[in-house]
Amino acid sequence: MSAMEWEGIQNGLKSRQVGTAPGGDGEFWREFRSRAGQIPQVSPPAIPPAISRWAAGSACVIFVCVLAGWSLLGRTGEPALSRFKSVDVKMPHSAVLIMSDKSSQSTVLWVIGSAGDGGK
Amino acid sequence: MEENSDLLIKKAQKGDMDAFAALFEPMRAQVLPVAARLVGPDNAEDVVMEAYLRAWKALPRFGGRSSLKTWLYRIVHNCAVDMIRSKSKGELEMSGREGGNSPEADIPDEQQKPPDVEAADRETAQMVSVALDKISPEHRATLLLRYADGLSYTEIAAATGVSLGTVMSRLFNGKRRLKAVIGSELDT
Repeated sequence: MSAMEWEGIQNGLKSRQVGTAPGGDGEFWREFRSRAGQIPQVSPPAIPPAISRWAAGSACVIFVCVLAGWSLLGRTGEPALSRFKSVDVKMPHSAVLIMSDKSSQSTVLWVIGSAGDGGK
Repeated sequence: MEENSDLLIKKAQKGDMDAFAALFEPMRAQVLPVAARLVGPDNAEDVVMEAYLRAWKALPRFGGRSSLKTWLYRIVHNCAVDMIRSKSKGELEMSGREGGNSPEADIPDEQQKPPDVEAADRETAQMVSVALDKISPEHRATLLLRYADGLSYTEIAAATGVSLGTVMSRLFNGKRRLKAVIGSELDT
């Protein structure tokens, strides 16, 4: 015999069943009852697991929706009240800068005066 | 049947010991060999008793995420580990060895086989037995739980406290190593 098939090995493994048979059930359960009688069962969870799983799942979905909506709006939406359609500066100036700050969702209007008086 | 066991679980969760016994008595013959693999036959009964007491205590929290049997295997594993920790390491070893059982004595009674077939079976069993001692305890225990005790992958995972993936890899590598050891024995 130069090689042994897995089937043969498996039969060999089967023959290694533990020869342990449970003792008399009367004796086992008598001892169990006397000991278990002194052990209080734990209280069941306040919220049944099925409900808590459902609630956690729903909360996750809502959170993801809010996050997605927020990031989508942040990407495409401009602050509605800080959008300039036209600018008319009455004072003398050399330049007008309009800057949008996305982090604070604001738009800054910067009028630069004539040379020498700094920015106003 | 399932409806009946659901009802028994509910009753046992409310403290009905008769319902608990009706539910768990059929599993005793299945968990005892597993406990014997983990702690040896002499300590198996104690581990099963301890596991049943823990199961009784924790049953109200059983949520049905796994089968009751898988849940019980997990408890048996935890009890076995606790026992191993509490006793000296030399005395107990999670090795999957059942100790004191000669393979010949354990061959289940089957139909009478011709003497030459019987002799070949004995030889195979002996060879497998010797080879099992030469592979790692983890591989040995996993192979025996699967092929000698007939546990499912999930039940082995619960009984040995490892993931399903680990069970699969241990079975794959265990088979490979066992075959290799037997092959080298046959070549010599």
